[in-house]
Amino acid sequence: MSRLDVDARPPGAVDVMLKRAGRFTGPDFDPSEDISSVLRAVRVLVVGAGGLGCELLKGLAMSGFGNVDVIDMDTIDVSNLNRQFLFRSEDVGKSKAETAARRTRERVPTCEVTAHHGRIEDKEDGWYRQFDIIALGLDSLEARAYINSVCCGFLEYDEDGNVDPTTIKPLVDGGTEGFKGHARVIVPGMTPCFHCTMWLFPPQTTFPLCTLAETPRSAAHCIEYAKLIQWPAERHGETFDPDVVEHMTWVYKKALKRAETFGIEGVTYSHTQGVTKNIIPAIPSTNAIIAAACVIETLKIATMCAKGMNNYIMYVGTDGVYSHTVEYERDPMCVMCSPGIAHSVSAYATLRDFMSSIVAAHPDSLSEPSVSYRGKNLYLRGVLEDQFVDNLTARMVDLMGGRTEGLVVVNDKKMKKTSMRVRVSLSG
Amino acid sequence: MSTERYDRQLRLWGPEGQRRVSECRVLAFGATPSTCEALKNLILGGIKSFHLVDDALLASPSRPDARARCLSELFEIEIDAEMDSTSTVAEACVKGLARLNPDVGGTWTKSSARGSVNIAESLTQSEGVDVVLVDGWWVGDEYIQELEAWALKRGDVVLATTRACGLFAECKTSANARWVMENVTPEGSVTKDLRLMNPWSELQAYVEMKTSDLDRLDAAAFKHVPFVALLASAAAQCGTSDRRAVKDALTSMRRGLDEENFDEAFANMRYAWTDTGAVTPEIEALTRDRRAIELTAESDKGWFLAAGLREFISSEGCLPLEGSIPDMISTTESYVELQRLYADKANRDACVVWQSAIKRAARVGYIGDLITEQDAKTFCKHCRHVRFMTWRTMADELDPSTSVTSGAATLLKDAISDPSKTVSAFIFAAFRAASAFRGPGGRDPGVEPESVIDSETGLPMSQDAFVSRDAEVLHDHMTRDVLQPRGIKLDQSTAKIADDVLYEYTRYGNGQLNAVGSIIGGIASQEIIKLVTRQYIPMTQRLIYDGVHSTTTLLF
Ligand SMILES: [Zn+2]
Repeated sequence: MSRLDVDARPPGAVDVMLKRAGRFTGPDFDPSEDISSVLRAVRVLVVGAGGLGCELLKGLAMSGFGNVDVIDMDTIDVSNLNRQFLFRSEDVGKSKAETAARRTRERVPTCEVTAHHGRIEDKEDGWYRQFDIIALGLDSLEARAYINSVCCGFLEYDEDGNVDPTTIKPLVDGGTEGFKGHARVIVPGMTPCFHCTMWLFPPQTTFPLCTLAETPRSAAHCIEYAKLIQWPAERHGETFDPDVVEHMTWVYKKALKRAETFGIEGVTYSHTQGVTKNIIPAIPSTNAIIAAACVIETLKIATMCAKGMNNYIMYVGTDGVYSHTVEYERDPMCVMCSPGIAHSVSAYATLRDFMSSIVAAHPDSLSEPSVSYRGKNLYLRGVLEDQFVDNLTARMVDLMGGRTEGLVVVNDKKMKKTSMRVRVSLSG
Repeated sequence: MSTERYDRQLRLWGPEGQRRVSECRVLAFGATPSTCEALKNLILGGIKSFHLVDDALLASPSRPDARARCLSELFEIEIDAEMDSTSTVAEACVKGLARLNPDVGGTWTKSSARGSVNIAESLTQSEGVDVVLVDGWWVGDEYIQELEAWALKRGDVVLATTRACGLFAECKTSANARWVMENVTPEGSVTKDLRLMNPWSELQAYVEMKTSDLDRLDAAAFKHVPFVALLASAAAQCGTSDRRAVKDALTSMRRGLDEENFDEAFANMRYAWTDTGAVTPEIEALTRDRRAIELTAESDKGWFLAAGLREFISSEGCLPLEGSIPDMISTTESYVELQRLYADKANRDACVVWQSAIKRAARVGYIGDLITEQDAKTFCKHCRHVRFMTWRTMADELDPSTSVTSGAATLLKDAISDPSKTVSAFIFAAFRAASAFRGPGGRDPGVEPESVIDSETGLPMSQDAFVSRDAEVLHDHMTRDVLQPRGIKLDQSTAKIADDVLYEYTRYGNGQLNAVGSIIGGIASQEIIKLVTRQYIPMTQRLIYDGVHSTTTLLF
């Protein structure tokens, strides 16, 4: 038994806050004893059951959310235990999502937590649609960009560029590194999405191969050489797996030998792990602070109990405690979340003319576009391509039902799952 | 102690920092979300032990707030079959928290806040106490000051206090003044202390060797001459006063435009003049501090090192060399050689400082911790960022008359008139006013008694009317007990903000949200880790968290 009396969760701090009017509440906040039950029905998806994910699950359950799902493909490792507090030594090797869900339910029986052990990419877009709010506890840029593209893909705009509010899926995102972290709220279509502020993420440093091979100068150079050059050359056909101790030891020994040959210091087993696995230092306090900030914003979105954060907070704990809230701005040209990119072609332009002109204007995003107008395909790549070849020579004005302005959606495998919204005007 | 378990934090504070964490014994007062969340992080981090004090019973009809607390706001709480209604919340929390890490032992005491200092004293006798963690609401402003005075008398004992109400919270640490030397250089600020304008003799020799035959080098070798040698050579040719001339000299040395080492030389040119080992005003002040001059047997070892640094500066005219170099285009040999050159010089400089420090220590019969060569190396390497930090005492901020003499009252007044701090200043005031509102054994603002009856109509009051009534009383307390004794008067616009903050405070009904506990307890535990490892730069001011606006503000 984990509670004296599990079926009756007595009113706690959240309930008191929700039943009373306040001076800093958000728009349309309607205090009532009933909001707590509304809160219990809100469906939240937690992406990632790691350091932030564990904290998010605890915080959401303790805040009165009663219907939470969690997805993660990882299994538990010993090095997780210094901060992923829902896991114990005996859980090593088990599914993170399943263990985290079970422990949260044990502690807070009033919260139904459903686990999904698997990859985020393996879920259909429609699966994500069922959630009201998505909270991200991730450590990779790629995974964030993926969820962002799914949520932005739901957005629908009218022809004046106004977003349909029912298509908005709010995202709450946290990230930490050592004593530093950030939390942000993304309301796609209203506030900047990940893609709008991609510049926030610095490019990863990679070493030129010739440096690794000919003029190594640091321990990291020797380790990278052992992994990238020596491993494939000497262990044909085997894939380097950083979680296999023998593999890591092999790379470490090769790197150490190389470093000794060149008179370079600093190759240790721990450093080898750090470089090959791109390990980010992580401590429980920062995760707790950042995840709780995300939980509070999730609570605000769900209840309007206070105004929401707008829209990004950074936290630095190395020199005293410093936090700063920044209101980033949307990129009006963002291919993920903008109502559309204005693009004009000649009044006589054919679909083929339009396609080559839009590719020329956005070569980074497009190479072989598919095009649709008002939900109808004008050109589709792949097995059905033959059906649309005739459209290539048709005039845009005819394909758009005689209109000279309209919203055309362009897809391209270069953009993965996102669409580019193009506000076409046929001029001249 | 498992290296694997703590791998992700060892990468931040290293084995020595972790050793200090693993010896740390924490005494916590108040089983609230803030203290329990702080304890959670410390236990996960691998402290030695923790002891939790709280007198609330698991099922207490007279304290329904305590019951709600353990069922609704605390996460790591475990109630087993042997426990009954006379068991304490503290015991249930300790059982839950102890699950987090098998290396960490937990115990508890059933006691009220009144006995805090006695408990701290007796636990010190039996097991030892290194950190006191206090829930400010549970202990109350008065006993906190007693606990702090007790902790500061113990020398190295640090105290951290948190307090939360709804979306508002505060955190403050107390410690005796101390030096911070390790991990104090801001991350990402790569040192450019290369001394290219004033090279020492070994560096000079290196530069000459690498550049004397520049014209005869083959293309590959030419492209691998380290930029340090190129830049120093150009500066040696045309003097250090004329940047333009140095730039021209570099350009004339080039053969083509694809030499990346030359690109690096141009990119690093400005640092050659800005970072020359010059003595900053901060270091000047630190080394000329009275405590670095009037050394005694009891002086902190940092002051001996500061005195050593002063002597170094007066004989060399510059700071000790930092000693590391950035990565640069170079052959392995030239780079490793250069790296060693800088490291050796930095070690020699630090050794001079060390010798001077231990000579002074011997002269005055210094009795503190051994001053090691490593101490001197750390001190010199980070000398641009080392500092001696001091904390205000709780009384300075909490006691109205002391706060007037300490200057904290003026700082509060300034914060109220600074629009970016107004709300936070009133959150601080609200916490103090709430203590006055409660009085001994009383009710907190916004907490509903059994029934709330309107005295005029005899009917139950609405939530709005009840909150408004308590908020007004709270407002009176703020004016009378917090602002007036500090000589603070509000104008119309700040009075409106005060009104909103106090109403909101009352609305929360002293509710302690688990998530706010995570934030403020998280900050407290992070500060404790920094103080215990003696690494990174601790927060010395009082932090106010405003969850409505998602901000943190430092007061005082
Ligand atoms: Zn965007």
